[in-house]
Amino acid sequence: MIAVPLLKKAGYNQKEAQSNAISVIFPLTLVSFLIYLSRGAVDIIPSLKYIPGGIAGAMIGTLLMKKIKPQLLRLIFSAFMLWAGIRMVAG
Amino acid sequence: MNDILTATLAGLISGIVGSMGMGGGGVLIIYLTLFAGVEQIKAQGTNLLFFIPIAIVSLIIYWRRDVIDLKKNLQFILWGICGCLPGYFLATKLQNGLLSKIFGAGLILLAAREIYGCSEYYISKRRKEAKRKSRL
Repeated sequence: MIAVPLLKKAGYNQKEAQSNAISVIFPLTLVSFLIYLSRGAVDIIPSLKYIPGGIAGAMIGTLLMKKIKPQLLRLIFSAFMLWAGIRMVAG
Repeated sequence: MNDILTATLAGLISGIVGSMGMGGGGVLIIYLTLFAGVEQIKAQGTNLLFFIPIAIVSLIIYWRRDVIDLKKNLQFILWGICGCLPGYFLATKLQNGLLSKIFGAGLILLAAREIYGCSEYYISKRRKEAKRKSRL
């Protein structure tokens, strides 16, 4: 959510920024995961059950990226940010 | 059985949102903390593990579509990695604290700006259509 606006400033359009955000977040996820793992903050076995659904979701999501209009995508994305933001401030 | 079904559904939604670069982690963490009763720091750990295969699948698909520009992204990756360790310490020290509220406020501002930008686009589109119709 932070990477997408930054990438747009670097000259990507909305769709490109969202796709490229994955390549930025992925290495960060790996590093963070290793930190969490070394501190024993990950329960690996109970986490695995979310992955099959997730992979199917990734296939649907990447396909949606090709089909949906960028303006609609932006609107959905900002609605999501608004929701997450309100949740964080309230929580 | 029911447990597997809800887990798959939570994974599916998180996977869709995550693969579109919209922070699927938010979805999975919310499910884990609010519905599955997992504590925050463990939910974050699960979410990190979850995102690794999702990111690999998405990246392969986007890479084939030739939309990824690694050279341009490198600076963001390097700066981001520098933020990982301090991020972990913040997450453990300020778990329910100020940080997430500040972050949330930032998100609301960004979202408001985006929604304003989108509404301008739709309004100008409608005006153009109205103009075209009045000409006919």
